[in-house]
Amino acid sequence: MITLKTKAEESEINQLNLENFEAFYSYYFPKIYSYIRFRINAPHDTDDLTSKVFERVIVHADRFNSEKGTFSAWIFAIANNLVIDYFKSKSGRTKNVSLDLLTNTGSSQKSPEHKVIDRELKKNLLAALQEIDEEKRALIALKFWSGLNNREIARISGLSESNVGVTLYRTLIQLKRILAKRGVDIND
Amino acid sequence: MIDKNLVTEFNQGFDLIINGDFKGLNIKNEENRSLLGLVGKIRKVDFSGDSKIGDSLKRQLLEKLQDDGQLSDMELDWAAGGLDDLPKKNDPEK
Repeated sequence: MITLKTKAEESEINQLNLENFEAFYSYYFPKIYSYIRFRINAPHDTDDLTSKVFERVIVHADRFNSEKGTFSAWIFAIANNLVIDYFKSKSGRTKNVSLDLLTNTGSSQKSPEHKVIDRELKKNLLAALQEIDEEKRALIALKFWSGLNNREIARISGLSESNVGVTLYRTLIQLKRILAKRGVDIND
Repeated sequence: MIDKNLVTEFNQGFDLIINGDFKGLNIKNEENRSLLGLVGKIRKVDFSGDSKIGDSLKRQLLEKLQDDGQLSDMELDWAAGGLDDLPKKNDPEK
């Protein structure tokens, strides 16, 4: 059994072992997947990278040290490194993907009406994200899905905490404007 | 020139939404309210529903956990592939 070196007061979700694996996976899979999906414009590659994140977490679980940061910061730093690696390997190749490939219906339990609204927002959002610089996209992806505060995000990104806050603010304004141009009413 | 108070209010609101603490939300600025409304909407969208691997990856990982301590060198190399090539800054595995 692999047990992470977590502090006693940390949530059981952050102890990776057979007993809590379901809870661990259910908690982190959507967050890690969404984080990577925000950053790269390729659903198939998002699946591959998500797999690699979890494989590395399991193989290197004994390297996690809670004195150096939270478990969430550790797992998202792994994801961040893999995305950086991905962009390096893709540099020079085209990143354009048909908008039809940006979304599919998924397996949501929501009503048909909500599914249509979600699908439209998701399609427009993923397209809008491609109009934002990669560095800014990385920041908002971390903010949305990692649960980390700005100080922790600053440590991963190499920016100052205040710079993270200002960049997040400006990027959300930019994202809102792009969505408005695409006809998305965010105030409804 | 950016208003620091607006940035602070926005980031505090962002944290509250991310943590699901909607009771603590008291956003006075109209633009911030609109921006944080967008944050709330995005948080509700199920992006992981696009994934094709959710259950199959879970089964694979469970098998790996069950075989803990018996991973072959080849598996370790495969799972850890490229670690040495990653940037040293923020490298969590080191």
